[in-house]
Amino acid sequence: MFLPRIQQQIKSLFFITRPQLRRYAERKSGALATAQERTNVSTDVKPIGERIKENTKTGMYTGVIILGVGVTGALFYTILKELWSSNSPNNIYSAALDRCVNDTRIQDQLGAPIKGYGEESRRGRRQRVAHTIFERNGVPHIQMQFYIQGIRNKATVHLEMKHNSSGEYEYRYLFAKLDHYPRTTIILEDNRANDTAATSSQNNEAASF
Amino acid sequence: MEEYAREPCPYRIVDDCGGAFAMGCIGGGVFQAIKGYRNAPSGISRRLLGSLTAIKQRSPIIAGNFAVWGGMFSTIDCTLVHFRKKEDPWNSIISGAATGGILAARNGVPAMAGSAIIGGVLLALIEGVGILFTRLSADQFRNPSPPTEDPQSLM
Repeated sequence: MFLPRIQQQIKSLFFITRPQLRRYAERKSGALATAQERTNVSTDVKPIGERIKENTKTGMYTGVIILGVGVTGALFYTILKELWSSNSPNNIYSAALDRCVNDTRIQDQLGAPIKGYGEESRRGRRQRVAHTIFERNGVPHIQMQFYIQGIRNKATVHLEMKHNSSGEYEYRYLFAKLDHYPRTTIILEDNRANDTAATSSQNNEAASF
Repeated sequence: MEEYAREPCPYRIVDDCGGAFAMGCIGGGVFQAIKGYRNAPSGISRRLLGSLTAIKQRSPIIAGNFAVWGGMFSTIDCTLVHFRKKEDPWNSIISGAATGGILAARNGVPAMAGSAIIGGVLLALIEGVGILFTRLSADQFRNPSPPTEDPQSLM
């Protein structure tokens, strides 16, 4: 009966018992609450000029951040669209180049391993392909020109595409013209008959009115 | 017509290497001048001397790093052009990522992956800037009326 009491005392020396702890916490939170009230009071009294200055600063920083995010977003949007949208100039170029490379007539004329490139920039890059996007009779068109080269000869590829009814580009024409001696034109696709029919019917309607 | 006939590719590596060296030299020189000026003890002559010392010590190193990056980038780019038989923005992006990865090869695989991603994203951004600029300039010089004539060789 002596030993347990000693143990209890030792315990109370080293450990804070539960009721003690609660009391402690209550006291502390009370102090915190009063402190918060005080800070609430003290933040309110700032000279109006300083507050305007601070808000302007915050606004300007926010503006700079938003501008940066916007510019970065625009750049990413551009490059992602260029790389993955099937209607982007880059992918039209890829598809047309594939067709030219796999065409047996072109392979005959140029010599088998055929490579393709666009306009050469000053720094020796040839990744930009010359193209224009325009509207004819309210329908978006794209015109493009790039170069292919085999082991014997070079050729310039011209193509024009127009939006069809579902908003996808389809070929109006696609042909390659040799740059050197025979200067043959190899026509891979020529759908101009379709649209001349459409425009002539339009013309007829216009004439009849 | 002769300059069109020449292939840009193998020579472009030297071009890019030198261009990157010059860029690193100038840019690093400006950066180190400011840094040396700020870190030097007070007094205008001491500060100028400090910035000169910093330029002499550090900017060749920066220029060398740039040159290594540019040369490696261009080499990989030309390799890709040779094997893919096609020139498009993917070449730049892939070679940027590969350059970042290869130049961080001594720091372990995670560092390589990080540098590769940074390199790829950076080059993608640069390509995006290029595309945007060409589009803007094309808009500026656009023909007001669409081409009505089809090419003569199709007739």
